[in-house]
Amino acid sequence: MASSGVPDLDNLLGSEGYPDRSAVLVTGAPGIGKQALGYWFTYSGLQQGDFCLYVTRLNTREVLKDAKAFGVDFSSKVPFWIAPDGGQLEYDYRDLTGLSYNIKEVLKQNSGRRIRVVADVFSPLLMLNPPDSIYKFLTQLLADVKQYDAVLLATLEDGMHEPQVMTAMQSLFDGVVELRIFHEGGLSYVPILGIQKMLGLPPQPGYFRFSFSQNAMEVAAYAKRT
Amino acid sequence: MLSELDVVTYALLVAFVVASGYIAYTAIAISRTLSNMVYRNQARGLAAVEIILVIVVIWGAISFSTTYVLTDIENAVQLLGTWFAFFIGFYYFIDASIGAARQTDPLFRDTLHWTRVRLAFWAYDIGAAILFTIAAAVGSYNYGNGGSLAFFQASIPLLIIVYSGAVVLPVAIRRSKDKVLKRQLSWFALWMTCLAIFFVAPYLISNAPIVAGLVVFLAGAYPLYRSATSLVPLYNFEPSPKGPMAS
Repeated sequence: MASSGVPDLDNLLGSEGYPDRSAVLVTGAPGIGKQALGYWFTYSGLQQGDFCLYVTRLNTREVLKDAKAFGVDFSSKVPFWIAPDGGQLEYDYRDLTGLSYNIKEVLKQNSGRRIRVVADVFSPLLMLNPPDSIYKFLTQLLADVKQYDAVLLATLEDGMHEPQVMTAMQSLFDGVVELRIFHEGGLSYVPILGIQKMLGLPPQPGYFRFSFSQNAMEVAAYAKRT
Repeated sequence: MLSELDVVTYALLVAFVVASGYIAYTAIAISRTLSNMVYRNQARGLAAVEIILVIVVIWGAISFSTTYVLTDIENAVQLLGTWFAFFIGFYYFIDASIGAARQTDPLFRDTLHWTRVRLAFWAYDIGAAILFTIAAAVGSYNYGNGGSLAFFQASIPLLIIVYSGAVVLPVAIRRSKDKVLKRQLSWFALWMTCLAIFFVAPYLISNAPIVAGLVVFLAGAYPLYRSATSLVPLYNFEPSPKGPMAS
């Protein structure tokens, strides 16, 4: 198991985190906090000596700045970056073959270690390439994740893709975590986390309220106020 | 003794203040559920614009119905609390919206070098607000009687709004693939149309300019409310024990 870096979430996932050799998708609206899950997952891995690969749509400076806002400081231990600008490896959004090759090579070079991969590139990739080519790219990536005993955490923006694309993407992953904002009525809006599915876990019917503090995420069982 | 027109005016003013308060609180409540500062700022900016508009409208209604001459200090407070606050609030929202659009541009482009230009605009807006407020407070400059200074006080903040809101923002939105943001800004544009009508309404109904303006603002409350509730995709609860379901 690979700790999510969020103790409350680890408890929901059976106390230890995301399953080994799995691919987990986090969906949610822009700005809701999906990336924070990626930062804490990476940070937790670095602290444990895991090899962490971060495939980002942003330049690395932006990611570091954003991570700091959540209290995650990568200055002492840094992940391996694949980014359009500023990473150890750079990529072009339209060159899926090149990106796939680079990820595989990095995984191969670090085989034998515990590996964590975080990817926030799927939304832009889906916008700039035909969905079928993304499904193919993703299928290859998922096979590589399993082959090299890695855990993949990917994020996908809600509100930017057709429902059938979202459904297809979710079906390819072993686990799906949803972050959403619910309107309780009146002037009450609540951020809610739901585990739609997770490898090795029975279906989770409940919903969980989440919030961010300076350098942590708190998750608690949710009951609608009446 | 209040005339019928006064009663209507006060009733409209109260309704406008209540509606605006509801909209501003909605935007703030949504901002508190978001973790990314850019999106939080956008929601807060929307709330700020509406709150400042309430202050401007109340102030306008008071100044229409009184002949009281402001002291220098009152003039300075009025200048900062209405004129500059409105432009700064508006610019805050537009700036955050451009930032939000950039976040959802698949190529993460810096539209028209916005990340650098915005800083110069902020420096001007804040610097001008401080300088003109101090000048008004010490009586060396009066609103509406500033000669060439009026260009720096009135025209440049307006030009900043026009450039950022009518030039940069549309380009950034076109590059963004966020349908939710596009819907939200479409509602905001509709509210802007109401704001534009507000400036014309008093001329069309010259015997009741305040009433005409308030009616337009009240009509604009609905698109602004929709803009606030479109800041993020919202899900509703289904009346089942399973809990929340997507609407």
